[in-house]
Amino acid sequence: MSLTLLLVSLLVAKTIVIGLLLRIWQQGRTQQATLSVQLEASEAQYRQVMAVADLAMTVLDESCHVVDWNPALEKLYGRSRAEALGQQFFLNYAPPREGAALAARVMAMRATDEVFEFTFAIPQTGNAAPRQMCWRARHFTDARDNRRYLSMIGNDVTALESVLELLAGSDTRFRTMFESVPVALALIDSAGHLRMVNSECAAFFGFDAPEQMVALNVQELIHPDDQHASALALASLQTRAEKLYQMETCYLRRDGVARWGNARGVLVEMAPGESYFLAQISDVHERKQTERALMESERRLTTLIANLSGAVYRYELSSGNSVLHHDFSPEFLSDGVEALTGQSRAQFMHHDKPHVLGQLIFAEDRALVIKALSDAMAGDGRFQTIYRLHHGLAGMRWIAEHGLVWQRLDGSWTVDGHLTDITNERQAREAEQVYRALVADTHTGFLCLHASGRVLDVNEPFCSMLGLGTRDQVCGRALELVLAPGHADDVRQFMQRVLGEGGLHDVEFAYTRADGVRVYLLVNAVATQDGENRLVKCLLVDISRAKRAERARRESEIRYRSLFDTNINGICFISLDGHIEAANPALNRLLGHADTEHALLGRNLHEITAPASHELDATAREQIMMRGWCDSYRKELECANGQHVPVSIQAWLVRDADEVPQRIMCVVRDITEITRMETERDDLQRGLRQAQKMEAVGQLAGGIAHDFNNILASILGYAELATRRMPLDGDEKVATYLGEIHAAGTRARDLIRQLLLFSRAGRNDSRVQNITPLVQDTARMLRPTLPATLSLRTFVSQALPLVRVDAVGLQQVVMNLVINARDASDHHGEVKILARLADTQGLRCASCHALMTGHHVEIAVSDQGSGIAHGVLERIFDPFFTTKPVGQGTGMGLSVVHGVVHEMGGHVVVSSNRTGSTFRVLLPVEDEAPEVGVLPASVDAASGRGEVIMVVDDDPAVANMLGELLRAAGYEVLVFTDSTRAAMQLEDIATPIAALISDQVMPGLEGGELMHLARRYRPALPVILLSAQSELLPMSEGDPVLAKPVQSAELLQALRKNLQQSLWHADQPAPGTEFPDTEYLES
Amino acid sequence: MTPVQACVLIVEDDPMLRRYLEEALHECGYEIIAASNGEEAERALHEHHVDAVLTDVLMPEQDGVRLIAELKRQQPDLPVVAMSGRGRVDLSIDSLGLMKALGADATLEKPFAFAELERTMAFVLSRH
Repeated sequence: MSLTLLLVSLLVAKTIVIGLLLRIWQQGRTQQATLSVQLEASEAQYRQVMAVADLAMTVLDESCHVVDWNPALEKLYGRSRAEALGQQFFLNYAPPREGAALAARVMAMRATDEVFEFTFAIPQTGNAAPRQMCWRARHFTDARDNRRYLSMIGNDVTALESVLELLAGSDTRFRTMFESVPVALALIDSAGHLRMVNSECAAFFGFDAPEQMVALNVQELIHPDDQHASALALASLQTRAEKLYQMETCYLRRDGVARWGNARGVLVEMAPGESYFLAQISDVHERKQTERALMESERRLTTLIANLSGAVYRYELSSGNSVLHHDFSPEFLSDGVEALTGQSRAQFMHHDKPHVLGQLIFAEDRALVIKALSDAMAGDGRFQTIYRLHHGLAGMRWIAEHGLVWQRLDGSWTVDGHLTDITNERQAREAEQVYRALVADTHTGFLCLHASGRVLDVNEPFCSMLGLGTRDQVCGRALELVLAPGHADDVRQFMQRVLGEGGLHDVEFAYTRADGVRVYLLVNAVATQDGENRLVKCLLVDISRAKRAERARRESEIRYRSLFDTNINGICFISLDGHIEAANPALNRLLGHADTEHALLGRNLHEITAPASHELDATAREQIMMRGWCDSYRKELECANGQHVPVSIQAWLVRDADEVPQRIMCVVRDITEITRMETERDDLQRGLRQAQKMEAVGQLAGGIAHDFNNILASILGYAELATRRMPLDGDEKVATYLGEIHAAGTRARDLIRQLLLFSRAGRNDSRVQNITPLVQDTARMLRPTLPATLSLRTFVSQALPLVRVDAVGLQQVVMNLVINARDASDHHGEVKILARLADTQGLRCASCHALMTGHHVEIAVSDQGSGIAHGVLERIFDPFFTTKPVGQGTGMGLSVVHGVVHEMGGHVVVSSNRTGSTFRVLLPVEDEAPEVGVLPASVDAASGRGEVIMVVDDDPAVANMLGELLRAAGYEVLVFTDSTRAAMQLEDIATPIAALISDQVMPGLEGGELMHLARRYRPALPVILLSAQSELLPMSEGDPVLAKPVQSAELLQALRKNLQQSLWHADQPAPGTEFPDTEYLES
Repeated sequence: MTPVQACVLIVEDDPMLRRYLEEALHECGYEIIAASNGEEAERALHEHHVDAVLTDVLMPEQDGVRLIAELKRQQPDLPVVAMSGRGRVDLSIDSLGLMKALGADATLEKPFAFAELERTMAFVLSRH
């Protein structure tokens, strides 16, 4: 309404006063001074306006008495200016009921310069309708008398036609006014087109001149957001629903920039049916911007609170109550509380019976919260606390609260705070702590890698495992650069595999640390996704010890394996029930299987054991189970081909780590060779025993022979003498008795002779010769002594090699064998004598058990008897052993064969079965030329030249004999019967000794020992040892050994020969003494 | 029978055999001097004329071997007959062979027949 009044005033007054007033209204008191000056300057113009204005205008003094009264008023009230001057306006010219109230209101406004409005109707004379006047009033101070006055301009709003007329009539003035008003004004027709705008308005919209805007549709100037609202408001104005249009609208300037304006407008009826909308727009852009910013800020805050995790609250604390704010109903609480507590916000905000947040705090945490709050009130107000809340659904939530306690002007305390659910973080942190503790305390290395190869995290064990320094030095760096050189490719490949294939990967790495130590790592790796990042997480276990142990175990296994595989002894493992679990190649070979064959596996030891050995196995098994091992024992195993092989078994119980018996280990040694050697040794020992037995018998025979012979010599001699003395006519019986005595003596003599032959004592007239005639002669000689029922056939090879034999001895041998054959044949059948060359390789002597080699001349005598009983064969050569009836045999036949044959260096082999026996006399072939005569029997042939010869024999008779022989032969002789004393003499090198002749078997030093001792001092000393056949001689080559009984000529010849050789050697310089003293030679 | 009775020294330690030898050689017509060992023999040789010596080879005190060796050294022409019953020593050495080597003119292997004794003694005495 005020704008309409103003417009009307402008239209009526057409004076600058109105402009001034308007300006004052617009701009306020600050411009009052200026305005006063301008008022004074335009006093005259004021008068003119007053006079010509169509508007009712009056000026009242402080007590509302009329000071001025213009013609329009005169016309309106029918009172002249003169009449009106000095009259109380409101008492006289206002309606009676309103006058006092109006006067009071005016008086109330007296102190201000503000424009104020009021209306009242002025009754008209006659039938004329009262005029509805709208007054606009303002107090002002007149600069001239400095008193307060009230100016009033009244508008007769009952007759707008007159106004329009006025408008048309004063178009130019109106335009001037319209144009000059410092307010944006626009006149818009009903179609919405701008009909008129002033410069201010044009400027508002960014146009250079008002004309540019005319005919524009007002909607084009409004921001699309506001177009609709604006149209609605206009429509409601046009339908008279609203009298005034007022709307803050966003306009679009010509340059497209939006600008806020506050549009106020009225509908103006210019002519009947032609209404205009007059709008005044004030620029509120700045304010609007501020408002929008504020709104935006508020919106943001709201959004923030709405979206804030957790809950925001404001509580007021009443003094004297519990300090725990949560026990009260909040002033403000955001929706977030629902997530924290499981209860809706409304339940907490409920006016009558609110849920109290504080009661949800865990009882044990309440004190903590109260303390935090109390501390904050005492301090700067800020607090922070963590506690647990009961949650309706989740049970419990961890809450972090931080906030501010502040005091209001009225002294009350207010708490603003923010609750955050940190349950997950806390759980995560606890999990993290657990994980950290796990990762840090374990011996397992941990490595978290980014897909790029960058180390995100490791633990200390990882660092120490790889020898990498501290964790901080490793984290954040590329793994390739962190590791010792030479592992980058492996690591890269492994990473690619883990990332490419996914899933869990196990791999063993051999890692050489920078310090050169090699470690073996078992790496478990898995690729994970953490947001956008692909990670590889690895757990590393140092398996070096296990690896080394494994290697040691493998090496041990290899050692064991090689021991097992290459052992020359058979080794097998047998289950406790006797089945073979493993057998080495040696055992397979031993039993005739291929090395790698598994023929033995799974078989029971029983099956491959010779039945005779089963009992031994049982005993061994008992021992093993009782004490863990068994004594070595011998048994026979059965080979693949069914043959038995002798083995020695040693076995141990194998227990597991818990000492539980698992299996038995057997070492099987092939003792075929040992058994053979043992048999051989037994044979040898038997032979030796036999030889020693023979020797002993010989010794015995020799010992008694001398005395027997003396006795027999007397018996026979006296018998002969007695016979010679017998008279021819003497008692015949006496002669017969003497004959019997002689015969018995002769038999005794023969027996003694055979004993001596057996013992090889006495004469030995052996020489190298062809035995063919000997054998043939003997056969011829024997034939007449054999019964006619027995045929004797002789097969003798011509051109037999030569052998050294004693012809008489050989004849005796053949004779004895043929006599035995005759008796064995029971005087029937055929006795065969065979002489030929024979290969004796592998043959063993039946009497001395010596093994023979090389070619021998064989003289075999075979019969067709019933053979020799098995047990008898062993004893046939024993003296006096006979199977013949008592009185028919002396038991010396084969003993003599043994003695004579061995005397000649030969042996006897016997083969016998049920169809007969064969005795083969085997004599060694001699390379020497045949010897026609006997050896020289005279000492002259080998006479000495006074050389000193040492003779050693424990038998003084023999020693003397030898001594006498040598003396007789021209030697000086030192005779010893004590070999030890002889040795002492030998050590005394001052004694000139040319040769040593010694018996072999002696008490104290034996002949061989004496020789070695002598050679120590006299390296070239010739030595001749005298040895019986049975004595084993440790002789070196070249030392002459003379077989007993010693033949004088043979001894002397051998001595002579040795002395000559020794002389020859003595001419040569001895080694090491060639240049005894070099220095001496040079000087 | 020889015209002049030859004297034979018998050296034999076995008294029974020595008596037999005295009887036997007396039967043969020889004069007899008997000794039981080498020492007695040597004494007898100093005291009497002896034409031949019949000695055992093995005797305990003065060995026959030495006697023969000594006799052959001192009186090489004195006939010596060595007797031996082959015994223990003969296992080591051919004693009669040794006697021959030492110069014994003949050997007799005990037991010997009276005829053999007679022949042998006659033989050795005839050579001197």
